[in-house]
Amino acid sequence: MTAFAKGATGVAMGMAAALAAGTASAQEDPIRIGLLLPFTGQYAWVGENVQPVAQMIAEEVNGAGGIGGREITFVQGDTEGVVDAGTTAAQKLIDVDNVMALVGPTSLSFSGSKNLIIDNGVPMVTPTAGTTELDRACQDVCFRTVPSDALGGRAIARAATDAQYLGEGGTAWENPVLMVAQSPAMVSFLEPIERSFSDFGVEVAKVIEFTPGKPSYRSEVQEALAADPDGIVLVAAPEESARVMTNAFQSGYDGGWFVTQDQTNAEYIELAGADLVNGTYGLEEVASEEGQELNRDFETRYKEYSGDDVKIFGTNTYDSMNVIALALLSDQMDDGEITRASLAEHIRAVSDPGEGKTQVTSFTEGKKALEAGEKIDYRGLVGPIDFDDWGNIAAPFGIRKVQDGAWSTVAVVPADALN
Amino acid sequence: MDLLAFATGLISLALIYGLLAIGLNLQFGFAGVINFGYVAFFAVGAFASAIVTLPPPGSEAYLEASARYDIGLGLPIAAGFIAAALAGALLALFIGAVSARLATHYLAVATFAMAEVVRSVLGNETWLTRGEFGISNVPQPLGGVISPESYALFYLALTAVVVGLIFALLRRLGEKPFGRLLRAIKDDEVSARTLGKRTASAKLRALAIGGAVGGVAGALWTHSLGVVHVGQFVPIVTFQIWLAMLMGGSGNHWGALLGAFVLIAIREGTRFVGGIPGLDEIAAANPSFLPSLRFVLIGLLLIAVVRFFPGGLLPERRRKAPAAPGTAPAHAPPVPVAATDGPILEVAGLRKRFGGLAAVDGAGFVLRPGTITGLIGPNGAGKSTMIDLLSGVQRPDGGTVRLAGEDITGLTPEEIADKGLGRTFQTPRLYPSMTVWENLMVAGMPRGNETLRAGLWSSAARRRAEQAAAARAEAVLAELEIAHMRDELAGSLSGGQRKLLSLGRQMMRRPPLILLDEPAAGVNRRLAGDLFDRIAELNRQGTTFLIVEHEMQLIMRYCDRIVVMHQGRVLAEGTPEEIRANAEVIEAYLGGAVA
Amino acid sequence: MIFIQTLVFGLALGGVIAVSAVGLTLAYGVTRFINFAFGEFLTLGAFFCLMLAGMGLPLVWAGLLAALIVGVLGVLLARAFYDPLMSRGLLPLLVTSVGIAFVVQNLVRMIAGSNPFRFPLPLMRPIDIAGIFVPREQLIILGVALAAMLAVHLLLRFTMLGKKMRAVADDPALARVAGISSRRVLDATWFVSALIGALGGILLAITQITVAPQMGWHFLLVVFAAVLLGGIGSPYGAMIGGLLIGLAMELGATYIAANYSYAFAFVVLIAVLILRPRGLLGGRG
Repeated sequence: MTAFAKGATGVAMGMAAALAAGTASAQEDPIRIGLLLPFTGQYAWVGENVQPVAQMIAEEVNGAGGIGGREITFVQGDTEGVVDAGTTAAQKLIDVDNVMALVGPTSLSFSGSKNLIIDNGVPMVTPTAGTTELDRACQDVCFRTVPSDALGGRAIARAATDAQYLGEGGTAWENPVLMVAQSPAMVSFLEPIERSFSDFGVEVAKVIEFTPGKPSYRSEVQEALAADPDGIVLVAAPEESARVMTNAFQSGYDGGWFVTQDQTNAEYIELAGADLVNGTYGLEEVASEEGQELNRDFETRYKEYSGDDVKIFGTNTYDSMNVIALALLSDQMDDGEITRASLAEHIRAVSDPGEGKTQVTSFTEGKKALEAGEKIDYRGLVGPIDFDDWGNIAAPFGIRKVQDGAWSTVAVVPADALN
Repeated sequence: MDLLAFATGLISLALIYGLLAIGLNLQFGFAGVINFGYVAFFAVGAFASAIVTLPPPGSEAYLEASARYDIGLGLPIAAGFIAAALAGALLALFIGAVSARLATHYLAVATFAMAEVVRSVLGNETWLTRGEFGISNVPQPLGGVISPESYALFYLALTAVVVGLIFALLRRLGEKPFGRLLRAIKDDEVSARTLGKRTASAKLRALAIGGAVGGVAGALWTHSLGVVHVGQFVPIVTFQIWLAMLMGGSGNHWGALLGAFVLIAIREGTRFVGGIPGLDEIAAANPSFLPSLRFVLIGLLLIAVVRFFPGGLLPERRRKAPAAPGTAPAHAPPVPVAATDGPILEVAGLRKRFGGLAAVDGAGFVLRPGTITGLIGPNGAGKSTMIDLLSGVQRPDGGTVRLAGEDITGLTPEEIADKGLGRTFQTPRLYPSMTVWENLMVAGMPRGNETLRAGLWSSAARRRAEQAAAARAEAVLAELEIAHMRDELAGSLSGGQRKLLSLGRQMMRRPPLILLDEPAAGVNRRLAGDLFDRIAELNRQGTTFLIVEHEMQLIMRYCDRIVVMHQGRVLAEGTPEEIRANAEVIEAYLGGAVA
Repeated sequence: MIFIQTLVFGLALGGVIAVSAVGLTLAYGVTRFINFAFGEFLTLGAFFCLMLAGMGLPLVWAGLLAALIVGVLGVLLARAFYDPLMSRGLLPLLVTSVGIAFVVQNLVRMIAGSNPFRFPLPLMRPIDIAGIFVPREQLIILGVALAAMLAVHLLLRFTMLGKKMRAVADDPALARVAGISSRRVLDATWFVSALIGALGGILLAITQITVAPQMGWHFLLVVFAAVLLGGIGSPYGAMIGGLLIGLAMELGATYIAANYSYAFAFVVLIAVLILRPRGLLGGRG
């Protein structure tokens, strides 16, 4: 046998074995959900944060008898943070694993897998892509449980420019600086924040875009401080955020900070250090006063489940997965059959508001209501989860502040205050 | 399960990576350029094609897609592919020009860095590329005409046609004198230069073609997805292309293509590691486990391939020389030099220092046309350095060298070779991965036949020149009695045969002056005698020789004159008899021997 | 004022780069290939230090012990993967080292997960010298960097091992003839290279506050740039190159554009290489 033949046989056998393994598990006929997320590469933490929350809900579902007796299982589709790997990962999930729905993708992978998702009509409920690129990208099958960065950015500007949202002792910012990391998930905040500050009568003194992954940001911080800001809005991944804030501290900065909802979690306090982030403002999507309580319950439940604090995208994943699970159940109860097309319709059916609908906040609640023959309206951690035609949600925002090493809510910015 | 759709997408991707691997193969497998920034060509090709074909801002299609990019030329897809090829080629020319003087490691890291600079520019110049947002709605060829269900198949066909055409073209080019020259450069650039080859420009051309191929791959990629995003063009893609090329077998376009299919099979096949029973639980407890395991496997495969398949899965095959041409074998006539009554070579006051050591320290001598001159001296006398200085392989620090009255001091090896000075090396610098016949053909091929154009279109005149070279090769093979080894790799020859072949390469060119560096060292006595007989025969036909040699008997018997070097200077010069009687020479040799 | 402040920042970053670059270039001198897995020594150093500190060891001891562990790992890796290929030329080694980088980085991720960890150094306000802020962490980094470079200098100049390393680097064939066991020198070189790399990784962790599996791989290109700028194989060149690249990055971020600061460092490198193809202090290839 030639060297080539040996190599080719080896690869072929590996593929065959892998495919056989794939089909073998198909016989048990669980409902497969694809996790189309980065698990390796620069954004590997995204997948790592989303998966346990999704699993927690799946265990809740499976523990209660599954969806008509079928269990929910997950298949990872690692997008590696590269466009073409995201596309091939989506291809495998859709064509080979036959997933019923997708949790994900991130903004980067959406660009490459958009056509696949639309052409195959696979419902996706992404907890991770707030990019303004998705605001008008696709109808019918695309949903997201993260508000557009356009809204998040506007909420930050609204709160920062009005002392009533900043809690006790807070003063409105008059000379803000905006620092944004150059990465797909972050840049879409830039324009909305800058424009909104202007709309609310305050001009951003300086916008600094910086390269992610640098070991230090001292010069960038120095440039920011040269504008003598009374507050800095920081839009970056946890690592870079911690680095920028530390470098600013080391450069003697003691003004205010505002971070996006991605950093507004206990995990970030731990990473950056409680002393450092004390007094930092953050954002949280909330449905209402009651929504805040749900958030605290979720934090406790997740800590019990995983032993960890809630990380970025945790709350969004909770809603994404609950919506999918409830839609699956509703679809199954409808005619005993679940297809991708009918699932997309049921995602709307279980989340849209309506007269006489029972409001539910978890799968277990929803299941009870559905089994009682009621129609349901899921209301989540990040808002009422009422999707518009393009699958976007809108929500009031809670303004939170780090006090004594923990986030506490200081105000709520109602949806109409953002106009 | 829709395996057909799955396979279609992957085969298209494998073809695109195959194209990338072929382009890289032309740069490395042929021309030996270690380019660790190949992804940059892929990137500029993708962006160029996208920008050229996007509907212009303000147009109906632009508004309908609620697009937000700033530049779109709205030209047909074909124009996009041409723009992509041009963009890739221009970037390659730029990188080539900037890094022309860099050696292996410096080149590898400099190209790596340049690709990162390109990525940084593409990521930051948002007016051009929309940066981290990327551009969606890149037009797809016949996108509105073909139904979405069959579009993937259509695109696969289109990709196969484009890749097939380029593949055929490059394969043809590889078998032509141009490709042969590139492989010679990869094996030994300095030696190619001493045969008068313009290696820098040939390498630049190979770089440019490789860049253009990478650009076209970028165009194929962006139109297949309908998006272009800078997040694709990270360094890891370059390494994947290298992996594809090395797995397949470098220097071999079929191998590169095959390697890309194996790469995609591994890359996507390892996604199925989750199917291995027993791993589910670990995977559930640790989301990073399976994806990381996948890359651990890919890394181990990479290591294993390099370790156990040194030549790749499809190692480069020995090329068989075409049958001897019908035309009768013919010797090359010696090239006439400009008519001059004076010496053919005049060396005066030549100096070269290496750090604190003066290797050549004001040496001077003259060679008369039609003579054989021996250059002797103890070890370290500066003989080999002298040959390097005369042939331009090293630049002298001072002094002059005149060839047939013309000053050639400080010229490049290829310029000096063109002026009629040939040389061999002490350790023969052949092209070990090429056959004996190919070694000769490279040496004998006129420059006009080694151009890119000649590789793409053949003309009657060029065919005649190639036949003439082939006929000469037959004559040289017969003359040196190595005709039976014509299809052996030069790297597999014995020491003596290598010496013969390096003389044979000069016989293909027949320059009026040949410098031989220890032609008989390590050659058995009988073969050495034969070799010197050939030299004497060539000399009778008009070639002048300067021979560095330790074998005194041969020197005394064959040389008309002898130059003795000692400690970088010329100690004595004269006929063999005069030298034999020179007391100083005896002293130097004995002294040298004792020390 | 801003200029001086930028210089201060640049020097500290340069110190981290310089230490790492010295480790990489030392190995090159003896082995003649650029080790793409070198970044993983940095990552491993930082993670082991974090782990040992988490087990209650004082930070200094944790750092030293981590460096020693990585040094030994370096020798083992080299023996298993590089040594069998030493006679096969440049490319197989380069590609193997890329493969090792993949394997190590992902093994770390398999065990530690993808989320970054905080490096346990307390938060400190800077020292204010006439309006110039000098962060205390930077003083620590510069101190360790200077000590490490001094140690390398002493090792190369005054120890038998250092002399042998230099001899092998100058002329491997001659060194063999002179009876220098290349096996021992090779092992020692890998040990020192990996150990210094781990130290660089710990300094990097102090600089960037966080520790993550891909930290070394990301930093590698900057280290390469420093090594090339100084001239491959020249430890003193690597020190100078590291400081220059650090300064270039911070100056670029301040005076050109923050989003181009990496690009600016590479442009400096390429410009230097156009003028001096073997780097600032590189004499040979």
